Amino acid sequence: MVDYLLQQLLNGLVIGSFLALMTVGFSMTYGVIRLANFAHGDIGYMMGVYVAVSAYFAGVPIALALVVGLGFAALLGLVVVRVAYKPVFFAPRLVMLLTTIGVSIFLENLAMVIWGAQARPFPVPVDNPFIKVGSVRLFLLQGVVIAVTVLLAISMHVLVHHTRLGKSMRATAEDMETAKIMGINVNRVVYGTFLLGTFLGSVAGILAAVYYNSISPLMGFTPTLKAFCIAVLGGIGSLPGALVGGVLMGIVEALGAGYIHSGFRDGFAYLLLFVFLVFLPNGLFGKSRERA
Amino acid sequence: MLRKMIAAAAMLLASASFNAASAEDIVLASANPMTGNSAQFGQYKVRAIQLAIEQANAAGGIDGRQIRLVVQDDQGNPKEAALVAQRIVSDDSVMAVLGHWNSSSTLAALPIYDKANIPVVTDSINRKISGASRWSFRVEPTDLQQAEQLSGYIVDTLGYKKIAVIYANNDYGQGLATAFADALSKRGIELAAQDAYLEGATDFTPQISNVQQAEPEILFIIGYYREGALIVQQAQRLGLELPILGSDGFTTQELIKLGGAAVEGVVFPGFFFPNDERFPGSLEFVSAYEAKYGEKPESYGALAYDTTNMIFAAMREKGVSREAIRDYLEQMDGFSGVTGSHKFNADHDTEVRIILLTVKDGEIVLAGKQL
Repeated sequence: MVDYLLQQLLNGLVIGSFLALMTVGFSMTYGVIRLANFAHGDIGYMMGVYVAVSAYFAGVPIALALVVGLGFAALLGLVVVRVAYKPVFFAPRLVMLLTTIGVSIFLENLAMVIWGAQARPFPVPVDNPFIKVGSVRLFLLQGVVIAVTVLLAISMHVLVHHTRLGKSMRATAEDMETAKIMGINVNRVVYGTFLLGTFLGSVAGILAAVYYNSISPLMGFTPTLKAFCIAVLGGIGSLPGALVGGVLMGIVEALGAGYIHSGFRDGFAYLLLFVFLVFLPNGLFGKSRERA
Repeated sequence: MLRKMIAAAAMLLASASFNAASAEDIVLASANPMTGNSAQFGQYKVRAIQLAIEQANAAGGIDGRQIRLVVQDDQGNPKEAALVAQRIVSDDSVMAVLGHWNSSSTLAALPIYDKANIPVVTDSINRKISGASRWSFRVEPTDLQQAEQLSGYIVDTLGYKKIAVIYANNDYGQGLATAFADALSKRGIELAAQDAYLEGATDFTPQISNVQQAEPEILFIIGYYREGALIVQQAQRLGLELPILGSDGFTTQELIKLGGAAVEGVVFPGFFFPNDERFPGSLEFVSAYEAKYGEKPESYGALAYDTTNMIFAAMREKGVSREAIRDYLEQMDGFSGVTGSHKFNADHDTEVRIILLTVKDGEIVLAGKQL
């Protein structure tokens, strides 16, 4: 009984860590330029992995191939923001939103054209030993996923709140026009944010590909949708919110599926969002900005 | 204005010449998933259909006319399937439709074909398709038939009584899961655990932990190969060591590519396997397919090959028209193909039986224990 609860909590914690890592990147760009980037999962999460795998098949050693994938994803983030988002920065919100969805569809189809529509396994088997706690198995990769997520969330939090770049990010988030007048190179801040955010997304993608041994051109879609929910739930732009919200959502999914009904598993996740929207519209760590 | 007129004239000309070129050809349409999570099945089907067409064309076509295939992609998505069906029925030259593969897609598209009076031959299994349209035929056993046969296999042949099910939460999975639970309860057995997942999901650990809690003797996974391969791998990781039976959505080499060593020994139903020699013509089909595509055909390709040849037989015998094809299929008394003898009952369902396949040393082979 206890073992079952522990197992479901662990299941939820791992699912939640992936979601959190996804959300940290998503939330950064969401926070700085108020852009819900629905192509987030395609730019980093999916394209990064595919490029890494392609590099591996082209003969690059796997460790280097992963670095290539990460680097490519970060650069792609930069290219996308410059080419697709920059022209509509000051257009109505809806236009930006639609642009991100357009980019998402474009990248998914591009990936299908280049690499085929089928799901594929991750090409390199990874040794994944475990230790037993009661009847619960704790795997090395699970530990890695959780640790990387917490580390990256904390370092991003430090970056945003204790560095010069972070300060300009927050200023840009507060008011882009005023930040510009104060001498902040707003473009550079926005590009930097995207570079970082996409990089984080592709870390999540590569970890997921290795952990689940599966990649597909559509792998980024659902995680992005959930990241959006978690970003709202945790408080827009809040990195601790992304971390706590992600883990919360993962655990709600696992326990809901375990104790109520697995058919509504994603339903529980979105129900959680609904509850937050009604009772805590600014999220866990969000502050109301609209009044300012 | 002038530019518009020129454009209009050019379009008219283009469409006129297009029609002139195609009036000679007999057109069939394939409406199957070419992208998305069940893409592999669509590709198998299209390859087999194209092989059958090539062979017929090489032999002089039908009534001296060549046959041509229009390939549409329904993405395995019912919304897209309805759009694809609209596109197909707007083309008067299409004689018959081969598809759709996913039950949800077939259910969404059937009313459209029905209204347009186009014969459709599907290999989806959901029972709601039975007798749904005078124009639809099904070459694969329904979920009710499969549930009956599979529950007999598990209980009588294998001797298990504690059974858990994980199923895809769509028309295919729900249909087969409820049919299976009903078939079991007729034998006085209740499911030990029953869990659902969303198609396209990647993490199945909460469901697997549920199954584990119920301590079943066998796990029946109802779904497609992508999720199947992931569930089997994650089940092993969580220490769930028990025999696994998959549904017919597992029946592809792709399962082995995705699941690797983890899917060794998994059993699933099918209609054909790469070294199948049970029926006349199978060997020739396999070698022609292998020569053209460099790999061996599988269940859905073989079924599609038979379906295409069935439609050719209809047109040869009764003439090239939609009505002729429907009449022939309705009256057909045992069409012998590479997957066995086909005959449609009053509900336009086939009576072909499943065979059980398994993965051994990375190959799909006949399972040791059959029904």
